[in-house]
Amino acid sequence: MTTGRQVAVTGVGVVAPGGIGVPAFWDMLTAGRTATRLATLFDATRFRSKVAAECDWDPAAHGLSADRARRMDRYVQFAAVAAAEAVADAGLDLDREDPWRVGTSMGSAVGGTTRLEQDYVVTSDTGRRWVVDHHRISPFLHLALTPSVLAAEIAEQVGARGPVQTVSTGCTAGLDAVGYAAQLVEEGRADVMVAGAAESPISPIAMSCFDAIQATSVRNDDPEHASRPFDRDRDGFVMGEGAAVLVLEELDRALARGAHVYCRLAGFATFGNAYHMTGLTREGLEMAEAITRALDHARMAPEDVDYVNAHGSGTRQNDRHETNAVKRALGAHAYATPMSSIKSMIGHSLGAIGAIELAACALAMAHGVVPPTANLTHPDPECDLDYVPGTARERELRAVLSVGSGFGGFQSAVVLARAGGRRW
Amino acid sequence: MSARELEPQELAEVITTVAGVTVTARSLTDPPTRTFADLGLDSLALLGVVAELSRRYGIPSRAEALECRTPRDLMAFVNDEIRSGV
Amino acid sequence: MVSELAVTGIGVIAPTGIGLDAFWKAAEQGNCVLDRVDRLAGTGYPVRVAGEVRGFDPAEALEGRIIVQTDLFTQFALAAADLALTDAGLDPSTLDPFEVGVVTASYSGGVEFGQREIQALWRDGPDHVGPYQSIAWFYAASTGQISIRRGLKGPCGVLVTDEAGGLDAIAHAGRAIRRGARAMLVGGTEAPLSSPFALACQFGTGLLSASDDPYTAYLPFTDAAAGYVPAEGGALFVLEDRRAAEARGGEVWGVVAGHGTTFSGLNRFDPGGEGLVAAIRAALAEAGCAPEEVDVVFADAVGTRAADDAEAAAIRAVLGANVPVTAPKTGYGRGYAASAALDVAAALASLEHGVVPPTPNVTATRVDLDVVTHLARRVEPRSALVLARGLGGSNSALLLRRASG
Repeated sequence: MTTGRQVAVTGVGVVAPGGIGVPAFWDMLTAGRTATRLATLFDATRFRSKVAAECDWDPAAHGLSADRARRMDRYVQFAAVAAAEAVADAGLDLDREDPWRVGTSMGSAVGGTTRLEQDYVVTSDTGRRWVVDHHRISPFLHLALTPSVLAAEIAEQVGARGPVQTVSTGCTAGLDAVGYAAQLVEEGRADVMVAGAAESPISPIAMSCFDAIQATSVRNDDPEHASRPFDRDRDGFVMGEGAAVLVLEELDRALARGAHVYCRLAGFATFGNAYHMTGLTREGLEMAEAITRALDHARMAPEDVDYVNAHGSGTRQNDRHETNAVKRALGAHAYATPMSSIKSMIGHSLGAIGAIELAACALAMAHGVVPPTANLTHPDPECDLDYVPGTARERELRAVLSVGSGFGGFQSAVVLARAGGRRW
Repeated sequence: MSARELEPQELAEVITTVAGVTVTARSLTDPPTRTFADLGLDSLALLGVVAELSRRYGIPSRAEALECRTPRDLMAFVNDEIRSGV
Repeated sequence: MVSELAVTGIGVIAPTGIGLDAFWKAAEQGNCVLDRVDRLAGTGYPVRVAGEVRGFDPAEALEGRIIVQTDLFTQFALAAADLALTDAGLDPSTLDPFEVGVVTASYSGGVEFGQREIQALWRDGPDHVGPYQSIAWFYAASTGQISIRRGLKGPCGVLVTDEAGGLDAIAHAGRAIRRGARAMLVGGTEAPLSSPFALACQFGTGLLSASDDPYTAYLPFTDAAAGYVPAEGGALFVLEDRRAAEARGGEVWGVVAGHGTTFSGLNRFDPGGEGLVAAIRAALAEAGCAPEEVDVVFADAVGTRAADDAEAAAIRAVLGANVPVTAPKTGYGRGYAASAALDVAAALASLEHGVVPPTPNVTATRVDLDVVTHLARRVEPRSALVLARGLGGSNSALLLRRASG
């Protein structure tokens, strides 16, 4: 549908492993540094995968008051800091906005489960009691039970009173939360959406459930090189954490107030593969369809794509699935298009990663630099596209595509395009 | 470590409980080429079955166990591991 | 161009019955099925009464291999999806799979499954966590499982806005149809009673009724209001473009005419009802509906004085004090992500049957509203407004219209 309203990205904020804040984040991505290491946030001794990409996190150092930090789960803290950075970056004075026209849309796959688990251990006598001791439960634990608190805390912070929603489509939640926010701006239900995603899943329960399906890397003796998207020797993803927030605004009003416009959020689509909760088809038909529809939405052709930010999780099946999907959607142009996975450096932060990858895309367009895929030393013969191994590459980027894939079979695609680029 | 071997009856019970697919001991190996996929088990179900057998018998080479495509192969593999005393 | 958003199928799994007919019959008669819950006996928990779905046998509705990999909340969703598709007379396999999608509202996910696996982890060790924990606990489990089981490759979504989720999910699914989807399955389910841990997490809200008398435990809009009673179950709907639905011979239950949603602040119900007022106005504006054209309100009915007064103030501010207001959920409880979905099912049936169901157990109210009590009232409503608020701060309103005239 066309309403004539277009969506501008005017602010970016990031909290990522090895890169808290946009400057540090961009510096590490372009340097090709990896932030994967042996997990320190919990005792991984008895776990299959002991590797994680962690944030060295001190909420006070990033401006969170002791009160707010105490109330907020770790993932919400990440989001709060990223949102503050994004809003400041956008130069928005939210006190002067109509609060009913400002909303938030925030993604998370597993929400407050890390805190839930911590309280569970205490109240269940380490799993011995089925009926937990309710006297020992924190009165705020309902805020960990449901991730609605994520969008709500960010709304409180920015003074939003318009549409406020948490999106929880598993590992595509980051792309979807931003995509849904763009739809609301296009349709005139909001003028400003603070949109992004956050996750802090480096916990025994989250790590053990991926252990159980052997989805995570066991390169425990070489953690810095454990996340190896598209590499012959990849053996699973590395759990990450973090958050990213984008400020989305109606384009004309962003231009009218003289805002710096990173890019337009020009296209979004999401589909299910209706195949398997964790399995992917070899052909990637549904991801290809998401890419094609997102390009249609952006009124663009496959040849317009200058860079593909891959899902690139580093599991055996994902990287082949995705390579085939991109070939199917972009045709011969796929071979001429750089496609990289920043999960090689910052791991896979489940619901957060889609938003972090969109932040990376917006920065890549602003700087004219494609971030590399780290650890890609021996390409998988079945993954034969240009994955930008090792070293960042300068390139003018007029339009970029970011794709994501997640449990439940969800396949999402977002197209970012230069603000002065093609319009309909 | 248990010296007893994995019998079709026990494997059938594990599959029924863990994967939610009702199978009989006989249906596992008749015909002998019947695969887990034929029985309606996907990769997650097989992971669950192997994990349960591993808890009961201790199977150090879980990855190899997961390569087994038929109940017959899996039983042979598990019983080899049991006999070799690992 | 989409003509109108038509609801063509309704699937209900409620404490008052499985299927819309049983659910509506109980609502129309004002039945109360709230009861003391065996699962909670002996726990010492400050919640004794709840709305349990007692007639649901997963083994009857679903395949064994699905049951082992899903929590009860997803089993409700899968069964409700089947009921909704059957009711709509729609076989999705006859359509382009990319044109049929799924959106669910989620609140706490697969809590019983999750508690069992966390228990295995901490009691027995990491290798005792099973392969299905990664797909059963998370909030997106129901959308994914419905999509896979019914072969639906269209837009898939999951919204978490607490009790408002059912309404917001319907608006989101409508958005998907306006953007090209042919049909959407949409709704919300919840199974909060099977996990003592998840239930205990909520005691801190101070909103759950501690009463052990099923008939006085949940009395919104009265002086005796002492919180709400939790419920399980939910509803799914088939949403279609009306012209396309009628072209295939589908019958229309009602039309989704307008939606509004606002935020009033974390952990509080907007004291003056200001956020709810804005949401109602937005829903009416989108529907092109004047306030006097709203014939019945299905209230959120939290059951605390402050929240009820705020809701009453909002209804009066926009619609006046004379519109009939009802809350059939006092007969079966408030079901989180299922709550508003069940209200929508009741509202659509009310439009269809020309009858406003009563608010069970509620007699003398303390608010200046026309709350429908005791008996169902025949008012032939042409439009119904459904309201829902979440503790996370969401206020949502959905305006439904009768299919004909």
